[in-house]
Amino acid sequence: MNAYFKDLFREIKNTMGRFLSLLILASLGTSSVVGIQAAAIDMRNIADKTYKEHRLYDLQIKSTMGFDDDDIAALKNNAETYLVMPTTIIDVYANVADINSAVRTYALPDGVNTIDIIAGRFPEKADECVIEERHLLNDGNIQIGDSIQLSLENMDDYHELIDNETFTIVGVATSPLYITFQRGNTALGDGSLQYYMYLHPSAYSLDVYTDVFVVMDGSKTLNNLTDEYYEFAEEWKGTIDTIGDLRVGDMVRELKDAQEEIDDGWVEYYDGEAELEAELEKVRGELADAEIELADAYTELTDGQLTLNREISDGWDEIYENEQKIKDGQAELDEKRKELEEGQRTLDIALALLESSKAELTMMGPYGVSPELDAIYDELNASFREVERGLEKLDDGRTLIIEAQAEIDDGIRELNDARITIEEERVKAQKEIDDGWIEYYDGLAEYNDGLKTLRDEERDARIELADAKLELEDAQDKLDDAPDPEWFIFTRKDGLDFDSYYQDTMRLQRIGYVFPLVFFLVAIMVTLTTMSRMVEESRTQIGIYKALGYRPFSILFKYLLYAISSALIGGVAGVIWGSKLFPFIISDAYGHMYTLPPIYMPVPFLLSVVAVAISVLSVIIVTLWTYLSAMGGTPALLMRPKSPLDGKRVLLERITPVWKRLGFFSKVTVRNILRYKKRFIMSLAGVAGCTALLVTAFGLSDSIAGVVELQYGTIIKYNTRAYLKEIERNKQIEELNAILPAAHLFIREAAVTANGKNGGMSAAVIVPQSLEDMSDYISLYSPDNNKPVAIDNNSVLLTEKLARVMGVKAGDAFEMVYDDGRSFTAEATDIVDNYIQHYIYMSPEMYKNTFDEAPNPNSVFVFNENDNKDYVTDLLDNKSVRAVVHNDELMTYIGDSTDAMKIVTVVLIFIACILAVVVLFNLTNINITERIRELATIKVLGFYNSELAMYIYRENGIVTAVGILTGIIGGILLHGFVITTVEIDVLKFPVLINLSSYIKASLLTLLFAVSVNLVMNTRLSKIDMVESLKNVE
Amino acid sequence: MNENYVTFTDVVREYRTGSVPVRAANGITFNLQKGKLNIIVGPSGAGKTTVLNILGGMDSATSGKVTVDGRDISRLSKREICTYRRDDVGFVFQFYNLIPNLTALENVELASQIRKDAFDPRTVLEDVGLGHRLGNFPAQLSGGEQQRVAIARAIAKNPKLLLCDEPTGALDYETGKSILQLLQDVCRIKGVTVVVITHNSAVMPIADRVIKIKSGKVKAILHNDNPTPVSDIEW
Repeated sequence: MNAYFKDLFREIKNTMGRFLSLLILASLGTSSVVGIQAAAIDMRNIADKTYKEHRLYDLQIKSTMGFDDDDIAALKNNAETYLVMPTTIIDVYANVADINSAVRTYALPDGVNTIDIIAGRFPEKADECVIEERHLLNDGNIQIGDSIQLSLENMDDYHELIDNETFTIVGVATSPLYITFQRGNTALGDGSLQYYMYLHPSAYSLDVYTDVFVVMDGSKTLNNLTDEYYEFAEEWKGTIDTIGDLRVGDMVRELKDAQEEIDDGWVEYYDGEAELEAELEKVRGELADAEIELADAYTELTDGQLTLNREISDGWDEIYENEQKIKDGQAELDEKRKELEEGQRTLDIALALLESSKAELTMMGPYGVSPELDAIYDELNASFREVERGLEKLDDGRTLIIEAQAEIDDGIRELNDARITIEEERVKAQKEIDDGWIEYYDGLAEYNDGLKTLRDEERDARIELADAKLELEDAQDKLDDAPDPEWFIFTRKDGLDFDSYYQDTMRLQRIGYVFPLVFFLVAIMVTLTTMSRMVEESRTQIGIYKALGYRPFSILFKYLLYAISSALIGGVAGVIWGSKLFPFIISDAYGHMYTLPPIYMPVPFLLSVVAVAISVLSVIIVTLWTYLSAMGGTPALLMRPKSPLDGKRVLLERITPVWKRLGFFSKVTVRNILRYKKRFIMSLAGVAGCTALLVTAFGLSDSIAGVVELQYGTIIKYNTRAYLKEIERNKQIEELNAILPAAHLFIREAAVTANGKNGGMSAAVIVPQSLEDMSDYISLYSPDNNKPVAIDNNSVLLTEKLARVMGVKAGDAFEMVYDDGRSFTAEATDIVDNYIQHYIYMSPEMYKNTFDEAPNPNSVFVFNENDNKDYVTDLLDNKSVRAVVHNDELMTYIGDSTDAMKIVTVVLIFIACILAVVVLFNLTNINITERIRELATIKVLGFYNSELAMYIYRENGIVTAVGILTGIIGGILLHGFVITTVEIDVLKFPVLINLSSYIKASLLTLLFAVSVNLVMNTRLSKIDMVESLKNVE
Repeated sequence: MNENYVTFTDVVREYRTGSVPVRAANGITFNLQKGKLNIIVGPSGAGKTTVLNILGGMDSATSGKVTVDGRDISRLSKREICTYRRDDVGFVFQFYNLIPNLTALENVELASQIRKDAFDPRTVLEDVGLGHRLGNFPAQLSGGEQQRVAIARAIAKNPKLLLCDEPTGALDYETGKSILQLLQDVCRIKGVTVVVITHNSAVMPIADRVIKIKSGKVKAILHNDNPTPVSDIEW
């Protein structure tokens, strides 16, 4: 036994290069399979561990209505739920150190999604908070103890949610909810969250919870990063959905009750209103009567006054008239009296004259004396009589005057009486009227009071009613505004980061199947060649054993042990270095993307055992196969030296013109290559594999870089994009037109989930305001033939990957679902190329028809030849503008995020190099060993070392050349496969390999081939010519 | 000069295998005439192959001096010794050592390609009687034919020395004889100095000179002024 191992060790020692090749190949195979798998598994395990440690939610529930205690009780009562944590999540603006950001605030967790305080302490009061580490560290100028101002555009809204505005930062936290550096989206600001913070639960003033996080019983024992988990998660979602339906049912009933209450309220309201109206009607009637009465009284009084005035005035007129009459009568009377007095005096004079005349006459004779005297007497007597008659008349007149005077005096008396009477009457009547007025005004006052009372009462009543109405309307509005009660249940799959992490590990694992497979295949091939050679070397020995009737197991065992020890040592070594190096490199790469703790890199035992076992088994099988096929011959055949493979004419020789032109050594080379077909193919495969891996690796870099280059170099032509508030007025557009560079295109964008028959993805519907200008901002071309795709009024263009994932071709219908659940259907008209995100391009008309809403612009593409950004400040100042995004910044960002994948390419290149060296070394080595006699002979013939080397290298050169060409083809295929395997949802990797990558891959392969050959050169120069003299084994 | 065309003077060749040095050649001294057929004979392990290897530039002496055509080949650099092999030595192996992948003609060409003053391979093959087998691969030829090709390959280079290591060792009697005949002819007709190594002392009479070696030393040098024709000898 000792000698046996000695023999084995000697064999190993003698063929160290070969042994090492096998060993390294085995170690490459196991290291890559174990390493990559281990990395993927470790990544999953560490995530699983972290999730469980922090009791990460399995389901997040949001409700249109918020959650009350009944909801929580319903969730807690379910047997499948383990932890139910109602909480509050609110997005606000935060201002600290003069930096204003949109942030997400969480209520401190209670048992679910527990956070780590890495500095400071937990908030203990309503005005304390902790913020995330990244923000604190990155900005540096924020310290624990600083105060932070929270706000919303509408502070009233804010205070409905949160009491305090100022918070003191008391600590730094990390949340298990965030495993990447992405902070997600918000309705605030430019739509992206900057960081998260935790507030004390008492900081919130809402009377319901906004969110509920649930940990399910089943997830405690389940690895959370398995398909099984995701399947369960869907089931749990169903369970919670059922609870949600019940709760929503209750809520709907409550809402119905509320509606009924409101309806009752309305009935009451209308009753009240009617009652009021009736009452008012009545009062108004009464008042109207009173008003009429008052008016009548007024008229009466006014008329009375007028009548009175007139009557009095008439009375007075009469009085004055009578007075006048009396005065006139008096005057007349006085005149008459005067006349009478005049007459008296006249008569008296006349009488005196007559008396004197009579006395003179008497003295002249008495009567009868003379006739003359008598005539005088007579005449005198007649005058006397006349005077006497005058006197008598006067007396009569006097009597008359006296009578008249009496009459006048009576009249005056009467008049005076009348005066008194009229005054008395006037006073009396006036009093009556005045009394009437008093009465009237009393009535009026009463009326006015009544009216006022009515008005007041009506107003009060109306106010009351209006209040009631408002209240009802408010209630109705609230009820109407209250979204339909609905629960939204999210699994971790909906939390993008958790799923993308999982997908990344799965992708990694898929890579971890592909590449190791290549290594194992190459390892098996090389083992096959090596073992064939070794068995060949012991042919005679085997033959002798066999001839002697033995089954030469000892020889078999030697080879088996040789092969097994190389596979075992290499495999175990590979497992050890692979499970340390790969996870280290990979987790380091992913560490740039994910904030999960670094993986702890244990050697995954079972996997390692399996990998080593596969490695060992494959060499055992290969060895057995080689051995048994060599054993197939008769002992005689075996004992005879196996003649070197016969030379053969090759097909090329029959093509005389070509063959003739070949130099002597070229002919030899061609013959040799075709003679050792097996080895040629092996070498070819080795070289091709190396080139293929390199092409794949470089191609991966190209594709990754190509994503950005193609997207922003070929497809997206605008260099800036402004996000707008919903624009409804032309004026806003005009304002923007004035600010924006000439080349810009308003668009409407709508975020949807697009679903087809095979699957769905988030996508953005893009509607250009002008179809003709579209191609100046986004080039739409077919991924199949690179020909432009036109967009017209009926167009619905899908980007290629979206269409691929959905399984939708031009002419197929697909569904677009809004966040609120509304769903719309459209028919794809064509497919266009795209690499980042997924888009659905539609004409405004199509949009309107599909979504039944106006395609008001909410974004604008700007194209600026020199990317001059001077206008941006003005743009940002415009109140219609929410945010401005520059593509050059985006490119950098995306570039960073794809860096992690580049590390894979580095690993690949590294491995490809080792593989190339090992394979080429081993095969060249075998090539030399197998032909050592031939080479020694040639050396004896006097070939210089360089000529000898060329004799071999010509073949190697051709193998390398053909291998590189084959490898390029293989690389293209492998690259295509790997690209689709590692692709992430949001990106489409172009299946793109730059010319430089082919060149680099080829040159690297060539370099290895040349290096290996150079190393082999020493081997060639050491060939002992004495070998040529030896018998053929 | 002709007498000392090839000289071995106190040639020692030591092999170190393990700690004990083994002397394969222990002070060998002889000389060979130009254009003659020389046979070095001795039992297995006597050191005759060592002599041949040293003479053929495939091995070098630990000490002593070897001259060929007046040139000291024991002091040559690797490159010079290679050029010596290339230009001055034709080698015929016991197992022919034809390149299996080349036709008879090509095998000869392989040698003539690297030698400026080479003979036309076709003619040489015709000379060795294989004018009709030019396009055949070694596997399609009999042992004798293969050895003829090997001889043709060796002489096509127009070498000063034709060294043959047990050229009949793998051949049957008749074929062996015909090969010896061919060697003798080559020597006579072309005037090439031929050195044949053999353990078969029966062939000694055909040589102009025979050097007997035993245990790394020259035991005897026999001169034969009238070599026997090959056809006359038997073993």
